[in-house]
Amino acid sequence: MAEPSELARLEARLFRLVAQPAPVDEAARALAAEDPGAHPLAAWIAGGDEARAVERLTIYANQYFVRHRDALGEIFAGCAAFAGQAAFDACVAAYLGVERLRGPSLDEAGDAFAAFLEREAGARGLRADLGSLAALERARREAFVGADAPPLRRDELARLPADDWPALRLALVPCARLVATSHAVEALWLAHDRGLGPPEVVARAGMLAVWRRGPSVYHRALAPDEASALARIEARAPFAEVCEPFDEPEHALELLAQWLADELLAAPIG
Amino acid sequence: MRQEGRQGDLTPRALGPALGHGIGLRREHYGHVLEHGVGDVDWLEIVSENFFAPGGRPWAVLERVRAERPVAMHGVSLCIGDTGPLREDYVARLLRLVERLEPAIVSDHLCWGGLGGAYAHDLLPLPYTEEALALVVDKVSTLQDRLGRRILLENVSSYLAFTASTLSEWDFLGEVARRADCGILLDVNNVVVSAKNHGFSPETYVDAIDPGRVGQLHLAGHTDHGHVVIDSHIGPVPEGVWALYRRVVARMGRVPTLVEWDEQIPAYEVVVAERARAAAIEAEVLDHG
Repeated sequence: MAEPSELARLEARLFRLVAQPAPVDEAARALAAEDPGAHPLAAWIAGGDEARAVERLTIYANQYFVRHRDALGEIFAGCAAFAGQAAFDACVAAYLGVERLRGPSLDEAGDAFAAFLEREAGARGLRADLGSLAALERARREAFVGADAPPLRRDELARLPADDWPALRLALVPCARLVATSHAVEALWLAHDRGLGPPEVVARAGMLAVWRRGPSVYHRALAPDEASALARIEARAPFAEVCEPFDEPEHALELLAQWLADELLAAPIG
Repeated sequence: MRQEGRQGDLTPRALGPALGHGIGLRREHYGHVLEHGVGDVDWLEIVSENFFAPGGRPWAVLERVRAERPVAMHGVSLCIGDTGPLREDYVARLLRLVERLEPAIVSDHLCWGGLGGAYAHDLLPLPYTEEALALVVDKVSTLQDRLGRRILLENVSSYLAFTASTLSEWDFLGEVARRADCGILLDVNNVVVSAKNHGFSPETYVDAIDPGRVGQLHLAGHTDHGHVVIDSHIGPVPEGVWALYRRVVARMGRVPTLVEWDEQIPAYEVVVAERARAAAIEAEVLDHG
């Protein structure tokens, strides 16, 4: 394998020192053990001695943390509020220490944060329901900026011949998300939205639907049969399969009417 | 694909339309824009990555803005100085946005910002070396061919420099523009910030830039901590930046100029007032000597 160029070597050093949560002087000592050319810093960072190089690198390292902390704090506002600022900051630092951020937008920096909280909340002494709350907050952000699409209208569906219904493949509007949760966090989200303290939340696996109607984002918990039916719609299964989870056909039709009213289904049908 | 401005006379006009004076569109002002329109601004600039997501309220605002005024796209994650090729997924998203928006200007920064597919979400400084120059020129040329149009690259604020550098920042910027046949987005505030941090003359910097390559100017605020100046985009444009802007206008003439305000963002009218001051200074310098 070819030796990295001087530029590649320099960028790798700088990235290693600033895109991580540890103090720069500590990170520099760890780097020097693997890359002796990185020590002393003043040999490759101009304009002063070692202390000044650490000071200047620390500006970038601080920016790396603060920029991502602020972006995550905005997306996961409920998690930040219920974790407390110090614990949330520590959580973000740990997240940045293990996750490589693969999206060009800061909005994408939290793509793996819900899964991280689901794994780590307990070990960090945080509420066990924060992972589910983060998954809901993330889905709401995605729905807020998801693609626009006209919703399916009741009259479009009514024109469909009866014989075509079993093979009908409905679709969710592109901004809709089905979110698996380990805790029933709707009340937790609502408490944050209203500026209230956190309620007791039960550990119960479930599914939430999240979608946008006009400029407003909505979510609601799904019963198991509705969750299964919507998951089948998301997978573009034929309507006959969508109805399989229901004991009573009337219940399927009631929910279909609800989905149309919610604007969860996309036009055109096909 | 459009090839406007890739040939012929390299005046600012050849780099893009005469837009006048604009402001950066920020989320905090979406409500104002939807309710009252864009008001007394000639054009607006968006952060490209904020519109990579395809719909919702941000696009509703942007469509309203675009119906009223020209829009420019300004990216922060092109990472043109990263070693390795252009990130294909990024270029594809950028191209989709360009095709949908048909912006007056497309720009990003002369910097790097990631490693191994990961993003720092920061504008990290390059060493000013022949190796970096060759890399950036090659990638800018490739990107311009992919987009079918010229881009502008902005000088970034920096807090450190490298012993490996063999060129001044202004020579590096000028050479990138000349060899890649791209334009320059000259951020006047960034020149002031970096000049204080590295001890060079801001006047020397702007006097060395070829006016024919400059397609846009940026103005913004910064925070002076004494031992270091941070490009914070907080507060009104400082007097030192206005003074350098006068010098730039006297030398370069009418160049599309934009006021940025990104932290502790005030009411829309406050940012618009900064834009009005920029327009007044340009008129004073060019029309009254």
